[in-house]
Amino acid sequence: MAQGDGTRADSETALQRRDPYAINWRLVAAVVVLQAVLLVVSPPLVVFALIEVMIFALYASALNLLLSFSGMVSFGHAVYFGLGAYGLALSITHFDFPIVLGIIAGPLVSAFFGLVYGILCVQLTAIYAAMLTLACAEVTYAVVFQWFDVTGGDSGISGHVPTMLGLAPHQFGLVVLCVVTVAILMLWRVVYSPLGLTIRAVGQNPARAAALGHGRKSVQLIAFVISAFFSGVAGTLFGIFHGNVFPDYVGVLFTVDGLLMVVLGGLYSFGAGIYGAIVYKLLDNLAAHYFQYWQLVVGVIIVIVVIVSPSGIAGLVRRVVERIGRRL
Amino acid sequence: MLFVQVMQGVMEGIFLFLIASGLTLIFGVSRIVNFAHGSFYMVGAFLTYQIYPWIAEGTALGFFVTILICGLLVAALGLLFEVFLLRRVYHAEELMQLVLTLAAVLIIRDVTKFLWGLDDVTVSLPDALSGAAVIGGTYLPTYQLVMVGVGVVVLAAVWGFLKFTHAGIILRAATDDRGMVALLGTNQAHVFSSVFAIGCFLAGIAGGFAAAFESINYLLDTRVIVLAFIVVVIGGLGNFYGALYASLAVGILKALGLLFAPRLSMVIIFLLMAVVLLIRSLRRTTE
Amino acid sequence: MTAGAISQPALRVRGLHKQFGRFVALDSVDLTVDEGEIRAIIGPNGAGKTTLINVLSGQIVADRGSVEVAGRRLRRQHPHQVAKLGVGRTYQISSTLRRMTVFDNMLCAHNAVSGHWFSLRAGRLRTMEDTVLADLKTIELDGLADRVVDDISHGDRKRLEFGMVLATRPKVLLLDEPTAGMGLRERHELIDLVLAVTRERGLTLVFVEHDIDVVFKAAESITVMALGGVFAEGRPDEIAANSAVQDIYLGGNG
Repeated sequence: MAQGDGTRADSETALQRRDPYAINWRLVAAVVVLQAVLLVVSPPLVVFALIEVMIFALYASALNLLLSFSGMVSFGHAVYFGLGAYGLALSITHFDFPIVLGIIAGPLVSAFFGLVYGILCVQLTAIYAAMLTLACAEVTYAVVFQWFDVTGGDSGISGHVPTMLGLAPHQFGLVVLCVVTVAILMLWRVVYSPLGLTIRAVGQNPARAAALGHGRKSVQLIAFVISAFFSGVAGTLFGIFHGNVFPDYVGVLFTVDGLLMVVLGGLYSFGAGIYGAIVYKLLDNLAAHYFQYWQLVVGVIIVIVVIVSPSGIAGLVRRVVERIGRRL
Repeated sequence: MLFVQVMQGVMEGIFLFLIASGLTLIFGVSRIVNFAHGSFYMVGAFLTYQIYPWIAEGTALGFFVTILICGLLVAALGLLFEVFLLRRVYHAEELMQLVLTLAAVLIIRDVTKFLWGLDDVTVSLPDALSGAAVIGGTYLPTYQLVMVGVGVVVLAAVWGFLKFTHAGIILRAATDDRGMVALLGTNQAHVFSSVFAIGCFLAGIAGGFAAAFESINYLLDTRVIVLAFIVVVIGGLGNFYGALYASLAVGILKALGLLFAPRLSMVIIFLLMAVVLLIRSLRRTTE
Repeated sequence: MTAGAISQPALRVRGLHKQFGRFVALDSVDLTVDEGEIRAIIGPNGAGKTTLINVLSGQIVADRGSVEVAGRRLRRQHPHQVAKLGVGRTYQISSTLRRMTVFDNMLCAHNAVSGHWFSLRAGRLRTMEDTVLADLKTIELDGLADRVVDDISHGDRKRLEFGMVLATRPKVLLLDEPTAGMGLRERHELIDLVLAVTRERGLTLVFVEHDIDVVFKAAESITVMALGGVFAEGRPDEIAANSAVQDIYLGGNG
C-alpha cells in the first residue's frame, strides 16, 4: 500500500530503510481519483455495486484490524456493522435526532457495544473468545429481531432517512468515497503507529508482549472498540445507502461475509479488507447473476487460498508489484 | 407437562450428544474447530432420504441399515476432506483452519442444493417405530425412545472404546498431550484421520435419525452446528464427558425454554454459554 | 551506602510451593539472589526450574510462599505488571514476534517502555530508530534488521529475544535456557554477550541452563534443583566438588 521514501542517510549503518509507516499519498490520490471517475461515468447499477464495494471495504478493513493484527477472531462482527445502521435509525425515530446527529450516533452506538462486549470477550482467548463474540452477537440479534416496539422486528425500520440522503447515485458515491477513504486512512494510522505496533505485538505473541510490559486485555479491548467503531461507520453508510435497516444487518451472514473477505484478501496485510471486498462483491454481483451456486465458487476459491496461497490476494498483488518493480 | 418437556429435553440432549461428541473428539485430538460438522450431519440426513427407498423401505431393519450405511458414507466423505485438505493446515493459524472448514460448509451446502434442491424433503418413519408408548401417564413417541436407546448405545460404545481398547487409550493420550502420541510410536496422521472419520460417522448417523422427524433442507447445517458448538464449548472443548453433561443441560434448557419463553430459548442457551465461559475465565490460567 | 552494608537482595523467595494436580513442581523453595549477582539454576528435567522462572515472572501464581523483587512483594501480579517492576525474561523456546522484521521486534520493545505505546503518532516510532539500530548493533544483529524473524536462524532468534528484553531496561534478567538448541560456538558467543551486558549494566542475572560448560563459565553461584526443591547451593567450585550433586545428575539425567 504505502512505501514512502523515508530512507535514512546514515552512512554508518548504510541501511536503506524503507519507511513502512508513511502513507503513500500518490497511490491514495490515484485510487481515489480513479474511483471518483468510475463513479461519475458509470451507469447507476454499476455505481450501486461500487458503493457497496466501498462500504464493505471499510467493514472488512475494520474486521481485519482484529483478525490480522490484534490476534482476535470475531464471529459476530455484523453486530457492530448493523448497530451503526440501527443507531442511526433509532436516534432519529425514537429520539428525534436530526439526520446529521443520527449519522454521528451510528458509529458511536457501535463503539459503545464494542466496549461492553469487548470487555467480556477479552477475558478469554482464541476460540473461546470467538465463541463469546458469537454469543454476544446472537443475543443482540435476538433482541433486535424480537423487540418489535423499538426495532420494528422483522420488518425493520425505514423512511427515517432519505435513501442516499436524496442525492443522485454518483453524488452519494462520492460522499461514500470520501468517508471510506478517510476512515481507511485512519485505520492505517492506527495500525502503523505506536499503538498499532503494540496491538500487533500483543496479537502475534501475548506472552512476549507481556514480558515487554503490555497487558493483553487492555490492548485487545482498544483494538476491539476501534474495530467496532469503524464497522459502525460502514454500517451507518449502508443504512443511509438503502434508507432502511433490518435484523439481517446484525445477522450471521454479514459476519461470515466479512470473515471471508478478509481471508480472501489475505490475512496479515493491511489491504486484505479492501482487496477481499472488491473480489468478493464482484463475485457476488457477477457470479450470482450467471451461476446459482456462487457460494460454491467462493468456497472453492477460499480453499485454494488457504491451501495454496495463505497470503491471499494481497500476497498476489505484492508479488506482482515486486516483479514489476524489479523490471523497472 | 413439565415432565414431558424434561423428557423431551433429555431426548434432544442425547441426540445433540451424538453430534457434539464427534465435534469434541476431533477438537480434542487435532485441535481443529470443525464448522463443517453440521454439514456432514446434513449430508447424513439427505443420504438417508436418498437411500432408504432403495433398502426395504418401511421396515425398521431397513431403516437402521440405511442409517448405518449413511454413517459410513459420511465418514468416508469426512476422511476425504481430512486427508486432502484439512491435513495441510494442522500447522497453520487457527483462523486458517476455521476458514477452511467454513469453506467446506459453503461448498457442501451448494452441492446439496444442486443435488436435492431447495425444498424440504421428508423421510417417512417405518411403521414399527411410528407409534407411541405410555410412560407415567403421558405419551412418548416410540421413535424418540428408540433414539434415546441408540444414543445410549453409541455413548456406551464410544466410552468403552476410549476406556478399554488400545486405540482408545492412544486417543485419550492424544487428547491430553499431543506429543505423547509420537512417543507411543503411533503415526499421528492415522490417529487424526481416524478420529475425524469417527466424528463424521457419528454426525452422519445423527443426521440419518434426524431425517425421520425433521424436515430436511439445505439449512440444516447451520441450525445444528451452532447448537453443537455451544454444547462443546460449555462442556469444555475436547472434553468427551463434559460434552455429555452439556448436551443434556442444553437439551433440557431448550425444551423448558420452549415451554416458558419460546422466543427466547436460544438466547437463554447463548447466555448459559457466555456465563460458563466467563466463570471459567475467572480461574486464572496457568500457562 | 558503603560496600560493607547489606543491600536489598534483588530476588528473595521464601517457601515457594506449587502443585499441578498431583505433581509437585515446587516444594518449599528458598532462594536469595543479591543485586548484581550471576546465578545459574541447574538440575535434571522436571526439577521445577522453568516453573520457578514462571512464578518469578508472574506467569504462574504459586500456591504458597512469597516472592520479593527488589524489596517489593509480588501478589498475583500479571506478567506485564511484573515486567514493569524491572524483571525481564526470555523463554525456553525463543519467543519473538515471528511475522515482523528484526528491526520491528526491537522497535516493539522500545515502544513498550517508551510510555507512549498508545500514541497514534507514527513520528514517535521514527524517533526511536537510532536507538533501535544501536541496540541491534549491541547484539550484533544490525545486519539482519530488515529480515522477517521467521526467516532468521534459531540462534539469532534467541539473540534477538535477549536484545528485546534488554531494551526494556530490566534490573533483573531471568533467562530460561538462553542457549538451548544452539551450536557450540553460537552458544559461547551468546553467553559472552550476556555476561558482557550484565556486568556492564550491573544487572542481576538468573539463568536456567543445561550446558554445564556454560554454567561454570558464567555463574558466580549455582543453585541445584531436584524434585521441585533446592538441592544444593554454592560457588561453582563447591558445587563441582559436591558428590551428591554428581549423583543426581548421573541418576536423574541418564
